[in-house]
Amino acid sequence: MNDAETMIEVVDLHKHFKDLHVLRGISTTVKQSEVVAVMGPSGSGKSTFLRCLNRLEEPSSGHIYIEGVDILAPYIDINRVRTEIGMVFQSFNLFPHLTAIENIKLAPMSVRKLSDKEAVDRGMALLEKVDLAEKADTYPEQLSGGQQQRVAIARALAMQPQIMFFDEPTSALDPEMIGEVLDVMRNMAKEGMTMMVVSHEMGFIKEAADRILFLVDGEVVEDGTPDHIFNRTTHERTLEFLSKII
Amino acid sequence: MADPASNKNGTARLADLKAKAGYVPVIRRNGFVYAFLSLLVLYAIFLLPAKGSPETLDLGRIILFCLLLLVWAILIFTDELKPEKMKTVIVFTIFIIAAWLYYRYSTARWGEMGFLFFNLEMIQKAWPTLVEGFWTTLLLAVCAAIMSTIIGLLLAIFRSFENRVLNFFIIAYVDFFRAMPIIVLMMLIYYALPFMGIRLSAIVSGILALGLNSSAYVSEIFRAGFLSVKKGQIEAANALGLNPIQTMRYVILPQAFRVVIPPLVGNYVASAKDTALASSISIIELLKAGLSQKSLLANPSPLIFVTALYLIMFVPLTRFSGYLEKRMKASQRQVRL
Amino acid sequence: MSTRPDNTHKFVRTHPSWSVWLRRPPVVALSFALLASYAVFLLPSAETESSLLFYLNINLFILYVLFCTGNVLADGKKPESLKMLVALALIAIMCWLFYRYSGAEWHRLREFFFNWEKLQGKWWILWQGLEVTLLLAFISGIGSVLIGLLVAILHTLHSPTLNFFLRVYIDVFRSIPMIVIMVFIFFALPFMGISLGSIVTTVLALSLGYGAYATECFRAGIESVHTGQLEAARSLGLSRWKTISKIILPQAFPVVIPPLTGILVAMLKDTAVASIVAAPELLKRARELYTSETNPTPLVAAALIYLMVLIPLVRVVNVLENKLGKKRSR
Ligand SMILES: Nc1ncnc2c1ncn2[C@@H]1O[C@H](COP(=O)(O)OP(=O)(O)O)[C@@H](O)[C@H]1O
Ligand SMILES: [Mg+2]
Repeated sequence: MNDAETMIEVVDLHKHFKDLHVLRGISTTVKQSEVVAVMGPSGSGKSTFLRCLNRLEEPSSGHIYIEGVDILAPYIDINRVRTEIGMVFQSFNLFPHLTAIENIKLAPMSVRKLSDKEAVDRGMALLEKVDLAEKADTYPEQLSGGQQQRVAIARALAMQPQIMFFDEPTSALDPEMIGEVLDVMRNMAKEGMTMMVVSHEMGFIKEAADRILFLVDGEVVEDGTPDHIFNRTTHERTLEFLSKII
Repeated sequence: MADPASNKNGTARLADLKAKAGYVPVIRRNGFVYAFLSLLVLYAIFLLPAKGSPETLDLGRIILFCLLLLVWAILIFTDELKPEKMKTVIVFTIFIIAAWLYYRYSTARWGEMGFLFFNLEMIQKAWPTLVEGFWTTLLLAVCAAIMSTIIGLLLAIFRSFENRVLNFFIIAYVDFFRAMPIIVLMMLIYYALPFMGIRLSAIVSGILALGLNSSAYVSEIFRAGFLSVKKGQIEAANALGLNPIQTMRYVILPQAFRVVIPPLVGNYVASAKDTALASSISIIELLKAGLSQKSLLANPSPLIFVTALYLIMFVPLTRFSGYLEKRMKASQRQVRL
Repeated sequence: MSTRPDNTHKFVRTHPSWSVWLRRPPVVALSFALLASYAVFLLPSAETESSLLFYLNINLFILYVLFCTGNVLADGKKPESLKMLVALALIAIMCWLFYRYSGAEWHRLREFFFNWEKLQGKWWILWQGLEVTLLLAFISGIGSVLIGLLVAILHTLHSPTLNFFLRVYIDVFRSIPMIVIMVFIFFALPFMGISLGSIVTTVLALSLGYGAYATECFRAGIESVHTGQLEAARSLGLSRWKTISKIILPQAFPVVIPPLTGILVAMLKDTAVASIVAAPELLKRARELYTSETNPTPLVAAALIYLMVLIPLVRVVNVLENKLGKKRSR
């Protein structure tokens, strides 16, 4: 296994919620700088899959290697793994009692032990990057959905993660705000970030994704390039799903 | 992580991560836990004072031991990676150690423990009084509940008329009885009023105090219920052509009930618990029965029995009212950190 | 000119509802006339033997009064001045009923209830009692908040065994009446070789008892923080403790403060129970004075002091809770 290349390796991952078998043996690898889109019908386990990868959910069985380290091993400090993986949620989950810049600097200061100045500098640079420098001192409830999501992305980036997870980052947004968030994500992809994106934004996926994982009922039914999936697939479930969302 | 603009030179950081991934802070290591434990055992063997009632200095040593034990337990409990079985074992270990410490240093006469605490014979002797006390408690609770419901409902209705003069008096009433400790109210009614020629029996005084106190809370509960039905609902009902009675019957009451029932039940339970206060004005209810039998027989068994009885009666009731209140809340999520 | 069909009949009320009928001025006037005649002719005199019939009669009268006045007050179309008049009349009637039928000997009020001369030079005893009351409340308040916070945080560790015991603690202390806890500690524990003074008993009982309530309140606050917040914090790599202290507690506190204030005020009220275990607090001191003076004025004074301290607090709790309610409904 080539460490420099492989960022995430998942081997036979299973997840049960009581009787519900949500993930049924998922195996895949994600290489450095690869952008992987995860698609599939609602309830197929996409969110659960991502959340298992940084152990927000505890997997039932299987192995997960992040940068070659088995993160399910008992001696792993999961908080350190999580600092390597930024996560962006559908519902933003900004901390409502903190301003935008405070949201961003919280983790670098308390986990990475940065000084206040360093953290603020880094935070402002990131806000600049997502085009929200002037909103630094605003509380989340005064920001629009698109702005909140961009702050959430900046917050995740402030930990300088190696990998970014996006769980339907644009599903809760009004149509006119989707573009601004996707732009930020597109830039990140160009800069070489390793990304896993649960999304149904066809335009974005076609343009930015290197691969698509197609999940149905907790199993990977197809794994291929966007071109393959969108134009040449013959898989029945994939076709059915694509016909619904286009 | 020193280089801010690095997403690509992963290799350097990878090595860093690998070096640190296997790193467990000292206090989280299993070795540390066991070392700490052996330290505790050593402490227990060599440093704990001898059996018997401890002196001040020895007391300090015992307290230090307890604190160390606590620190040890907390270290384990705050560690997500320690297996649950280990935590279970530790909870029980702590109970055992606490019991042992108590056994070792308390001045209790162990030989008489059974005689003192679980003396069925004594309870049997006290039984008739206790049964009577139970019925008195029940009588107090039920009468207070009925009285408070009637008064509270009337107050809430008249409050909803939004008349300023009336509201002033109703608010004063509610505040007065919410601010007045029940036991003070009971004593005023039972001990002070007779001087003014108002002579009420102990039971009536108790019911009156409990009922008046509870009625203030009940009126607030009903008021909240009325207010919870939004204006829009009434307008919508009017728009459908429902008459006032139908509006009340099909729109307002069902909605208000959902809001009112859980706190109302909670209030009845609280008021039933407050009946124990009636022992302060020499009503022979459950607590007073237990207390008087305890002094009569010079044995705490009746009192302990009564406490157990309160537990048996009120744990289900408290749980039930808590369940109702939980169910009322729309969303109910478990927090998992 | 267009000829429309006349549809008026569709909208005319054919069966006037009884509530409309009841509210017509002549009916209202009649009801009040009836009320007056009831009061004059049917109400028993104050001296009559108090039998069941006597009480029934009075209660019937009260119900009728409430009905008549409610009928006017509930009507949105009656003039405001009339309603005010009716409200005043209602209050006057209630006061009059109490004055007439309570059997109170009003001339004794001054001598036995507000006989301040008896308290001359003895106020310091009551003030001392108040000091003890406040001190007890203060210490137990701190104790119960600390216990509540600790138990609530331990609860978030989600260790089933631990949770079982925490649950037992909460259930036991929420279920047993405070007075029973105190009596148990004070009268039963000495048989087990644990003798605690009355002050320690009170503080212990109040802290443990209200600690259980505070726990529930903190738990509700913690649960009110959305799970997404936890996930976001944890996915940033914040540790469990950092998540609790930086994300959860700051968001939980505004939710916790109003009910917690309520609990603390209830605790202040419950310090009066400590008089049962002979803690020298306000009520206990007042009762001692009452016995030595054979005059209930000290009891009345104590009640007034309680009211003076507690009414503002009750108001504060009320305001806080209303604010929270408004925030929730937004
Ligand atoms: N915490 C949970 N407890 C029980 N079942 C869950 C939980 N989270 C998700 N599920 C179930 O797992 C399945 C997959 O959910 P999810 O991963 O959210 O799907 P997707 O994101 O693809 O829509 C669903 O059937 C859902 O009901
Ligand atoms: Mg999902």
